[in-house]
Amino acid sequence: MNPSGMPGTVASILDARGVVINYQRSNTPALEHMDLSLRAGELFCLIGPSGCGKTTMLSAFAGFVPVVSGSMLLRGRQITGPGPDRGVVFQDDDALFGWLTTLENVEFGMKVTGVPRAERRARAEHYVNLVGLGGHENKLPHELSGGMRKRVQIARVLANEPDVLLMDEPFAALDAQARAIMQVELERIWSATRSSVLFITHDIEEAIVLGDRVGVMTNGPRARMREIVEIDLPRPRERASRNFTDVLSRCLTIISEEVARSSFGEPRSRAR
Amino acid sequence: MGLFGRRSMTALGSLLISFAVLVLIWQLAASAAHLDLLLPSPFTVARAAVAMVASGELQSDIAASMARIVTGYFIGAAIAIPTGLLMGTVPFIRRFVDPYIEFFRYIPALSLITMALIWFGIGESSKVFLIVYGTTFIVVVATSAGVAAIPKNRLRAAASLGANRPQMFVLVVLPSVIPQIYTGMRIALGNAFTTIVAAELVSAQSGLGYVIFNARLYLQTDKIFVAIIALGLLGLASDRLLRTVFRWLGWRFVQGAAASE
Repeated sequence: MNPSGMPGTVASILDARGVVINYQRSNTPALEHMDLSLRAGELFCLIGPSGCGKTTMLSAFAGFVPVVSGSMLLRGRQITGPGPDRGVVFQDDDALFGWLTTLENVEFGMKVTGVPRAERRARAEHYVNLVGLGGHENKLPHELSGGMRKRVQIARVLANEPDVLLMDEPFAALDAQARAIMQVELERIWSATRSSVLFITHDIEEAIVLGDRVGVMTNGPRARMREIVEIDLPRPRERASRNFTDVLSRCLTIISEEVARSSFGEPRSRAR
Repeated sequence: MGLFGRRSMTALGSLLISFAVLVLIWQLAASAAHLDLLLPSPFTVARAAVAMVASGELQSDIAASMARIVTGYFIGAAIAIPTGLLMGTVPFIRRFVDPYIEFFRYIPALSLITMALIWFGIGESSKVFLIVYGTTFIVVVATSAGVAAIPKNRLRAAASLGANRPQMFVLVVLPSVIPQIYTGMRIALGNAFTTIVAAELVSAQSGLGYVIFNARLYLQTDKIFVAIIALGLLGLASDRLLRTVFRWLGWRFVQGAAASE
């Protein structure tokens, strides 16, 4: 149970050290002394109290927000802006291109990076089938259900074959049933691709079901990583098992302590 | 469904029936009014229309009005759409231009009619100018608002997929903004019709507005009705034509971009 994971012993594909990020138009740090290492091929879940800065951290990895100080490296290279080496799956589906079909959405990244048409089509179809959308290639997003739109987002980033997948509370907007289905689906897809995934969620149970490791952040402002829990349970995770519930209570306790640390139990400001 | 599918037959049927009912009510009202001057009957109006077509005056007046509208409308759109796109994507330009847009939005084209006559003379240019003016401000506002309304995550998603700025503009911004441009252009079209009729009432020798104005000299209310009905039908046809053009651009632009939000 160490604060930042053991960099260097296992290949880290994403590495953040001592990161400081300010709130927008402000000099107050939302995140300070924030460390996070993502190992190659792992599914890392980041949780923490509401507003603590989880999304900010993901946005920084994605290159959407600047870092005031500290290092953020992808495979040892400094991250300076967004790029196809880091694919992002968003919580809301207006990130999808509503005028493009499923297949066209999935092909988009390859189209703008100049992949030839035949290969583009073949790769897109492969990933569309992988995420379980076979038969829906020519539908527009508004003709698809919430869960299906999520699959389009996932296929779209996978088709670009990025080094890392950054997923920002992707299932938060789904109803409970769709969410449960998508958790199973994500695990299946991840096992097939063995991608490196940084997954942000509010749902502690979801984090333990999906994650190889779960990182718990402190409350904001000046949030940092409080603790990283290794999840040694076999997959598929059984929510009712004793080990699972032990880990769950441990995480719940940590988060409750963090939530209590701000006055009135509410986060004081919203990070980006 | 096809031209003879059940749904379109029902729609066509309802249209015919409602039209027949309208004509019936009109005829009854006209009979009640007694005086043909007060409310010309459908028959009187039809007869006047036939006469106007036979003499060629209806065609030439329609052509005159439509020429002014079409010219002004396209010039206005050609100015407004690039300006709106620029305003939406370059913050400096928006800050620079916005106050003037906000100011002139509230100055109706018709208030400038006298100035237009002084600047451009009594010919076509003055009327086309008014249409350009009205169209430009409506479409600029719609376009720049459309760009501002593009969800930030959509642009971020495009960047994360590897799009550079030009690609982002052509492949994401433009398709996202087409529904708003369409809305602006529909409103501007209606505004163009309103403006041209009023402008012709004041200062023209041809056009449907001129017909309406001139007919008052001889109390030819039947001609007025012909002009009014012609205006309504032309407006309807123009609107449908605009929709068809945007559909041809790709209906999923008009429907799809908004629907996934």
